[in-house]
Amino acid sequence: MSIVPGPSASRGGIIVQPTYFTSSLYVDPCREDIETLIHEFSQKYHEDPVHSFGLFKSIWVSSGWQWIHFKVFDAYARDAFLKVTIRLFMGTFSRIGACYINTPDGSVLERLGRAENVLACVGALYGVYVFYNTQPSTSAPRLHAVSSIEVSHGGRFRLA
Amino acid sequence: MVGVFVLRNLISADSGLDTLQYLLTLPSLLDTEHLSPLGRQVKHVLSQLVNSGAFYTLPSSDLGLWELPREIFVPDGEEEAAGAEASTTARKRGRPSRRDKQKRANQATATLDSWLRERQPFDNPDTPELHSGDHDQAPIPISSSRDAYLVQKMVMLGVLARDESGGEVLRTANEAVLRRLREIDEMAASQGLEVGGEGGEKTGLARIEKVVGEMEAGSCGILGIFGDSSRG
Repeated sequence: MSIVPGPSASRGGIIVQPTYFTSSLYVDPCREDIETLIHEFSQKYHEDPVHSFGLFKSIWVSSGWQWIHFKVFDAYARDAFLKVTIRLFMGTFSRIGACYINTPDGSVLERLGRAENVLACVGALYGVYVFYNTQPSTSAPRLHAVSSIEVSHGGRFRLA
Repeated sequence: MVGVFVLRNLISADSGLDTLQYLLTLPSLLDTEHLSPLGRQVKHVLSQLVNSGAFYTLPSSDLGLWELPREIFVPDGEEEAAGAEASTTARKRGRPSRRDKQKRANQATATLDSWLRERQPFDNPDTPELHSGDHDQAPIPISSSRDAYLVQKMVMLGVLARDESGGEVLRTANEAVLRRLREIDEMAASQGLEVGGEGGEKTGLARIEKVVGEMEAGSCGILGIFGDSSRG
């Protein structure tokens, strides 16, 4: 296992190893950035509740998130980068979702958390939606993109 | 806090609740006046994702496969502590790794360097010291060790010459060495071996006998061998 850049298989260039993106070097700062993004959205929501998605987009752009897709180009490392980042966004639901529970009739979620938690979940949903849908689809150079958002199934909130 | 704890237990008992289900019920949580403006947009975003088949459901696992970060980066300098913890918990098995070998080689080099540095003063021929019996002397240059030897020999011969019994002591020592060499020669001969006979009369027993015999004429015996040959 190595998280330092190594030679690529194709042209002998230097690439970032996929394990870099699952390591604390990437995960911890990225998680903080996501929390900052969601926090800013929650704070500014009151200014314009009707156009929440537009508000989120402006925060996304002003924090420089639109450049994140140019972080890595090598397909092998890029796959890890995209999947881990999506998982980190989804992890917000795991943390906040743990405050909710199915009522015995199984149909309605009883609210335990505060409105901020729901707002944070909406921010995370917007985040994963924008991140997933703004993956560049260029042919020259070809850029790897993931075609799914991984969600865990089962009794616990497992993702990230 | 007690309430949260109890509810978490209930969640783990309920296998039907997962992230996707929670996501899909998110619009129903936006029924307050404060959050209701979000409803339409959240529904749209969710339906876009669901209709495009973006969500990929993974099987559940309690093995911690999804824990992030998976690798913990340890900065330079702190790895010693981390490594020490690991070595106390689990002893390494099998052959030493390349890294271990490199570490050992570096340590050996450092030890050798400091060992050589400690012995550096002997390199100086101006401060000769006698180290008889010191077997782990550093390999000092031949020229300086020879000079040191000559100086020390002259000093010692000078001291012996000043003493009345000096000549006697020297002759006794020479004869003792000769006697010991004869013993060795006999022991070797009894086993069919020969000691120091390779160089003919220039080396070995014959030469020692010759110089000890010459002591009567005033030479300094065995101690003179080296000095004479170096001059000749």
